[in-house]
Amino acid sequence: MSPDSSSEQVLLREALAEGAGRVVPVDLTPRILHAANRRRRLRRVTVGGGALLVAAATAGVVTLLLPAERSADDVQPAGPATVVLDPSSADELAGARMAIVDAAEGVWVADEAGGQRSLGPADPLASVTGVAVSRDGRWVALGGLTDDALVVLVRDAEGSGDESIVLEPTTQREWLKPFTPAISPDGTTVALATPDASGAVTVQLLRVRGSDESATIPMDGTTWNAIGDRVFVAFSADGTRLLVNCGQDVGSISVAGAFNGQPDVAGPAFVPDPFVLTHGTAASRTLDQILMPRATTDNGFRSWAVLETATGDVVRELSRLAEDVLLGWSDDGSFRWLRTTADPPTSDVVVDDEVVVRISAPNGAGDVLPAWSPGGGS
Amino acid sequence: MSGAAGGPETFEAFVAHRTPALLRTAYLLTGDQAAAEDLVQTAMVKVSTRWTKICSRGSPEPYVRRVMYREHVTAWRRVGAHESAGLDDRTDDALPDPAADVALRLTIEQALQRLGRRQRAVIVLRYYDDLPEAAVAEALGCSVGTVRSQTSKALARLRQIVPSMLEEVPSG
Repeated sequence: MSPDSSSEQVLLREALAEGAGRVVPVDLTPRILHAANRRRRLRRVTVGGGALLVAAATAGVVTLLLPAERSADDVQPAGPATVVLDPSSADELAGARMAIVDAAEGVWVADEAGGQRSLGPADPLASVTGVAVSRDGRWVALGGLTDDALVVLVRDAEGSGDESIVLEPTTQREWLKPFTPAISPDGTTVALATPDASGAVTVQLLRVRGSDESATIPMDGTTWNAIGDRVFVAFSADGTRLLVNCGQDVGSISVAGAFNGQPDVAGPAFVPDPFVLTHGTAASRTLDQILMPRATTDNGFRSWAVLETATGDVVRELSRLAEDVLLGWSDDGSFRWLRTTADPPTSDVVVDDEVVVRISAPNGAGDVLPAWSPGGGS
Repeated sequence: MSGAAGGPETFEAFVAHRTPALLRTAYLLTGDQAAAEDLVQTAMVKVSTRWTKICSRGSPEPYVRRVMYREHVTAWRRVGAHESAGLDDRTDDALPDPAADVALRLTIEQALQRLGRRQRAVIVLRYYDDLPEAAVAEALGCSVGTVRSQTSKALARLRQIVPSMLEEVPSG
């Protein structure tokens, strides 16, 4: 047989066709489009560097830089944390204010106009476990733990120095977990969840300005931290209700009723599927729906589900990269995600699949803790 | 290539429609499911930033495949020394002679994975994609003479690994 005989070619073609048919027909479309969008987006940010606004916090003082040729890729995490906002994403950022807690630099805020302001160190908290921004963007709430109390620090994001400190003593330290406080749209009330003696969730509602009212509302029928490592609490856009999500139990409370001694507790509804709280949770503006992640991943992606808070029913599912952490649910229905990479150490805020903010942290991306005002993106 | 409406095909539509075929080719090139998926993704992401320009020159698929083949061969260059050493250790070991045609084809398929990446690419382009030598040369960025010599060497290697390729060719 000659080296190129037709029968040999036939055999070779058949072997190749059979071999090609052995590939598992995976749908690569979401994965490719995601990677391509990310690449195109970063490329656009890079070539459009002249339009970028870069701000750097230096020793607690924020310095604004307007480098005409600066690109996102040029931002090196050699000094204090750096934020790059992409003003071409103004629609996604409209009305938003972002608070960032940097382990090395303290607390600072950024908004869609590129304004940056340091709010100083997070004293007296040794470490901040969670940060939230009021809907109007005016107030930043920081949560942390001491040996015998849960602490919430509320600071004026405008830099007036106005500050409130809430200490919620607790003797059940063995139950305590890192927590993120909720702050009302007008910044006057904070909420946090604690366990009661039976292992159910109790909600603490505390006024931080205007009065010293407080309320304790037991959430009968809930289970403290049955799944996940923290309880999610969030105010509705109008501030009248508070959502409490313990992972497998979801309920809500009337804020006014809680303060006048007539708490109106809806639910809790039981969430049958195995969801967790460790990758972020968000609620719609009316609290009728929540977005929660599943614990498991598949081929580098994690499934998320939108659930009805009244019933616990899944109404919609979506898929994200496994490392994405949910930052918030905008009023326009879009979701904001935090995507952290180790090399280079950056944290990207992503809306849909577009990077709208890049945070380069000096000591590793894991050192920054960002939050976004709930109204942002509306 | 045009979309259903006759206009330029969008990147998203191309990915949705052509990825399965590209994945089959990538699987032949790599011999590994995960590596094939990565190869297709790498090629697609590379062309995504220039999609409009690529489509303005005609059908984008030949260009996409060219990027995929070259990415595959470039990877061979990066790991070439290591991989060649491994191949040398194995090429003298003939695989067992299969008794049936099906088994023979499977053996040939396995033998393909014992070729170097460039030779494997030449075989896939010539005998799976059915491209003429000139097109293979363009896809791999080499001369027609190189394609001929690589094809000849690849077939000789296959005959060495699977002697029955010569002895038990199917009739007709």
